[in-house]
Amino acid sequence: MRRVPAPLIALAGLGLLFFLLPLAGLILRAPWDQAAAGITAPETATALELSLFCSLAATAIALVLGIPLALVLSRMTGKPRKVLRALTTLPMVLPPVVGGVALWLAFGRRGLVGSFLYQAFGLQITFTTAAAVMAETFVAMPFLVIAVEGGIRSLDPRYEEAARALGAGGWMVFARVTLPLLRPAIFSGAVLCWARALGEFGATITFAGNFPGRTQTVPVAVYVALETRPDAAIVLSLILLAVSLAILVGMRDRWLGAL
Amino acid sequence: MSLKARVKIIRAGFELDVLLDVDDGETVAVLGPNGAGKTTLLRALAGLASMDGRVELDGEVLEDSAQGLYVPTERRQIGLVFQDHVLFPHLTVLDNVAFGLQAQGRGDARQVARRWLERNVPRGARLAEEVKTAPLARSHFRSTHRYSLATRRTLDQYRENGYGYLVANRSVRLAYTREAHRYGAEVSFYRDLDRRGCLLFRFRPSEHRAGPVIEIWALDRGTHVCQPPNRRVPRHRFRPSVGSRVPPDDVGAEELP
Repeated sequence: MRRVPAPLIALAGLGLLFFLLPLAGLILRAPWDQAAAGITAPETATALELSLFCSLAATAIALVLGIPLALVLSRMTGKPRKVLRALTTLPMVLPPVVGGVALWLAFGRRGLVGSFLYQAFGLQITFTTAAAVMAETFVAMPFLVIAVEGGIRSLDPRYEEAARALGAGGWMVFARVTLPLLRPAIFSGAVLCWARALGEFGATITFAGNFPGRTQTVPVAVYVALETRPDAAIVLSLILLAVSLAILVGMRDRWLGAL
Repeated sequence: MSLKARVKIIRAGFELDVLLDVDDGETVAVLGPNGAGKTTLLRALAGLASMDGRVELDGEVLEDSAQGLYVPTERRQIGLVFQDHVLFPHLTVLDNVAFGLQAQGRGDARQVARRWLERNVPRGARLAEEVKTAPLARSHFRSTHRYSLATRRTLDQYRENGYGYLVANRSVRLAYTREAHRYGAEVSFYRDLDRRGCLLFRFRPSEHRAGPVIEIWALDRGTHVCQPPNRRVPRHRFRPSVGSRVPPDDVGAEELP
C-alpha cells in the first residue's frame, strides 16, 4: 500500500467510525433475550410478511417492465436516449417522499389517473397494498434498469447478429440469445432492486400510509414502533440489517460491477 | 443462384465501394489486407451493416437504398459464418447446432442435431454428457470442432430451404467442406488464401459438377482494386486440398425431407 498522509488516515478512521458506531449501537443495545419473542410477535410477523410480499412483487413488476425499458434505452442514441435515461434514473436521486407525493398526485383519488379509475371503476389505490407495491416499484426499478442496460451495452452484438443470420426473428433472438446472455446483469439488478424495495420507507408511508397488515411494511413498522415499543423496532432493524449484510456478502464483486 | 450487388458504405476514414456480379455456379474469393473492407462487405450483404446500394440474390431484391427497400437479415437466404464462429456460449453444443433449424420452425430440430453430433463430433468420454447438458462456454470443446459447429449451424439453412447463399468470413476448412458437400455445394480449400484471411462466397450449384470457377478479387481500402489478369484461376494454383470429392460418410443427406 502506498503511504497515505497521517491526517488523512485520521479522517478516514473518523469516517469509518461514523459508519460503524450506529451499527455497533444497534447490535449492542439489541434486546437479544427478547429477539426470538420479538420476531415471532404477531405484529412483527405481519410486517415482515407484508414487506416480503411487497418487495418481491415490486421486483417482479420491475423485471417485466424494466428489462424491456433497458432494451429500448440501450438501442436508442443521441438526445432522446439522454432524456429518457435521465427520466428513468430520476427516482434514484429523487427524495422518496417526493416520489410518494408524485404517486399520490397521479394515482390518488383526485389524481391524474386515479380520479378516472375511481369514477369509472370505483377503484382506489391509495392506502392499499397495491399502493405499497407501486411505491416500492417506483423507487427500486431504476436500479434494475441501469444494471440491465449496462449488461446489454457490454454484450457482444455479434451473438444477436449470428442468431438473425441463422433466421431467428426478433422475439426468438430476445428469448433465446439476449435474455440468457443477460442473466448475470438481470440477477444483480434484481437483487439491488429487491434490496431497495425492501427498505423503502418515504414513498410508501406517503402514498400508501401506515395500516398494519395492509401497508405497514417493516421500515414503516420500525418508525412507528420506535415511539411505543423500541425493542420491537430494534429487532426489526436487526432483521433488515441481516438481510442487507447477506446481500452484500452474496454479491461482493457484482455489486458495483453491475452499475 | 446469382448474386448482384452494389455496396457503398462511407464511414469516417473508410470508404467501401464494390460492385459484385457473381453468376450461378461461380465462387468468388475476396482478398485484401486488414481493414480493406472484407468483413464490412459481407455484413452488408447479410443485412447487418447499413449501406447504400442494392443487393439482388437470384433475381430477388434484398436491399435497395434508392427505394428504401430492406429485407431483414433473418429473412435473407444468406448464411454467414463469422470469423471467430460466434457460437452461443450459454447454449449446449446440441442447442447450438439445432438453433438454425429451430429458427426455421423445424419441430425435430434437436433430434436432427443430435444425430449429426453423434456421427460427426469426434468422440470423447466426456463429450456425450456435455452435448446434452453443459453450456458451450463450460464444455471442453476444441476450437477445430467449434469451427465445424459454426459452419453446420449456418448450413442448416440450405437444408431447410433447398437453397441459400453462404458467405464465410474465413477461408474454408476441412470440417466445413465436408459439411458443405452434403448439401450439394462444392467448396474448395485454399491453403494459400487461408493465411491472408480470405472470404469465400458460395452458392448452391449442384448442377455445376464440372468444378467451381474461382474468381479472385482484391480489395484494398474499400475499393475493388483489380480483378487479377488470371480472372479464371487454374485450380491447381491454389492447391485445393479437398477439391470436389464427396467425402465417404455422406450422412445427413438422407435426412432431407
